[in-house]
Amino acid sequence: MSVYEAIGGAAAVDAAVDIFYRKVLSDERISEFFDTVDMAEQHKKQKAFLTMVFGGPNAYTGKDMRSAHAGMNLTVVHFDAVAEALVSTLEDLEVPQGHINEIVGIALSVKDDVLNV
Amino acid sequence: MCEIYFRRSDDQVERVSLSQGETVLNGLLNRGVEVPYGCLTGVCQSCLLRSTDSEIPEESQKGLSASQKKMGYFLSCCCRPKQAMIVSLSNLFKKETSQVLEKEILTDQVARLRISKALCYRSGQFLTLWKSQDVARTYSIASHPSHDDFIEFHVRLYDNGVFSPWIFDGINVGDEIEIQGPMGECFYNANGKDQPMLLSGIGTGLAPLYGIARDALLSGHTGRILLLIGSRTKQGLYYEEELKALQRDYPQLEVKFSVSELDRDEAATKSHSRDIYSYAKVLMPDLAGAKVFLCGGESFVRKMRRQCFLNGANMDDIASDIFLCFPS
Ligand SMILES: Cc1cc2nc3c(=O)[nH]c(=O)nc-3n(C[C@H](O)[C@H](O)[C@H](O)COP(=O)(O)OP(=O)(O)OC[C@H]3O[C@@H](n4cnc5c(N)ncnc54)[C@H](O)[C@@H]3O)c2cc1C
Ligand code: HEM
Ligand code: FES
Repeated sequence: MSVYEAIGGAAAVDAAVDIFYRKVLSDERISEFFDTVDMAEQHKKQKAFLTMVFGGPNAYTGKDMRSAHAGMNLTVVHFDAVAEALVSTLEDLEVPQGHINEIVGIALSVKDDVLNV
Repeated sequence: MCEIYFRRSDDQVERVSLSQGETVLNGLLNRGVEVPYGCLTGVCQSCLLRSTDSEIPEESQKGLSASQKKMGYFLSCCCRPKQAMIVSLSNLFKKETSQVLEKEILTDQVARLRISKALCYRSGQFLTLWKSQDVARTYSIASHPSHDDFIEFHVRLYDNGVFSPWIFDGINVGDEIEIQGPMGECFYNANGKDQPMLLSGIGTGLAPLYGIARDALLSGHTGRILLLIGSRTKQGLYYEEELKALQRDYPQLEVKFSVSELDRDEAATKSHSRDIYSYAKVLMPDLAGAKVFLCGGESFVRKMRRQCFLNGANMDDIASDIFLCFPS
């Protein structure tokens, strides 16, 4: 069973998305990237992000992650901030530590692509 | 640059070239093709066109039903094609004919229009009203479908506007008016009768909120309902008596006003708050589990929605209608 299924699949994404997005918007290191006029559209992207790091069904490749984040000049500081928001969201939802580690592992696996290094 | 072929009839096709990034609606209007339109922002659907044999940009079908999409309908005000398209006018939406029952100028900025109930709706939804074959605007519904035998709108006057001055000076009791709809997701859902509710709007943003508040109260909502209305000046406020009366009948309802430009005496009495955002925060600091409805101009809705979300409201529990925004 994948970690996505283990934590509840699409329902887990739904439960996490508002909490995660709220944390991201409240974090000065990264809020500007997500503070767009179209919150509903941004909300969908957050869901895509969570589905991906939960190991759920998605059609993204490392190359897609590279182009999706190209030109943003992202640094390790930004990446860490997103990772922290992710972990603290999962802790809020009382996701077991083993699953959290696995999810962080997935996020780390695309780090180079996201940072375009 | 790309070409649009506008099919007037089976054997009459007009060719229009769009400049870079121009919408289909804009291109056609600029070349004198009369396409109806209203909001210019993909909400009212009055600019609907149809294209059965061309590629349709995804963003021009946002908010349409699956069957509308399949049949090739799209919103021409949001359509910036990359390739040539063959388009024609749609005759999808049935227009209903209604009659003006009552018109009252409430303040020098706001008129109340009541028309006959020519269709079914939920309070807080909106209809498209037609002034002529090619001029349409959308207005939100303030009345209640089963308790009122009219459909009520509150129309704010824009002096240089095309439609609202006509409501003030052109249309009269007894006149017929074509309407279409209803549309919109801003209405009361009786599933959470004890949920706290925040209803906030600017100016005639009160219209749908008044409708929603009454719908909630008449449906037996028991949770706290905060109705917070803002205006730039005191003169922009209306319906204060009606709201007071509603408050007397329903203790769970709380009505507050916020005026950003108070004169010095008014500011001193502190009967109104100046800043609607901080006032909302003071009156209802924690929005976890609350249902939020926001109606008004673009900057208000966006800023308040963000604040409400950060104060704990779920994204899915925030419904909003943006009344006016101008493509920059
Ligand atoms: C979902 C929805 C619900 C609505 N509900 C209501 C309601 O309940 N009550 C209500 O009063 N209104 C409502 N509106 C707004 C309404 O549909 C009209 O937009 C409004 O009445 C103005 O129409 P108009 O023809 O009078 O003015 P328009 O001719 O459309 O112009 C509006 C004003 O803006 C100015 N203007 C035009 N273009 C620009 C520009 N590019 N930049 C700056 N200024 C510009 C004009 O000079 C004019 O003063 C709603 C809109 C939407 C989308
Ligand atoms: C942890 C690793 C990350 C993953 C797995 C990830 C995943 C994604 C995904 C799936 C999308 C949607 C792409 C699309 O469909 O358009 C996206 C978009 C985006 N991501 Fe990331 N992301 C990561 C890190 C980051 C970081 C660190 C930032 C910046 C702080 C960031 C900022 C953005 C932005 C701004 C968008 C585009 C949103 C838009 O187009 O409006 N991401 N990301
Ligand atoms: S949806 Fe295009 S004008 Fe309103």
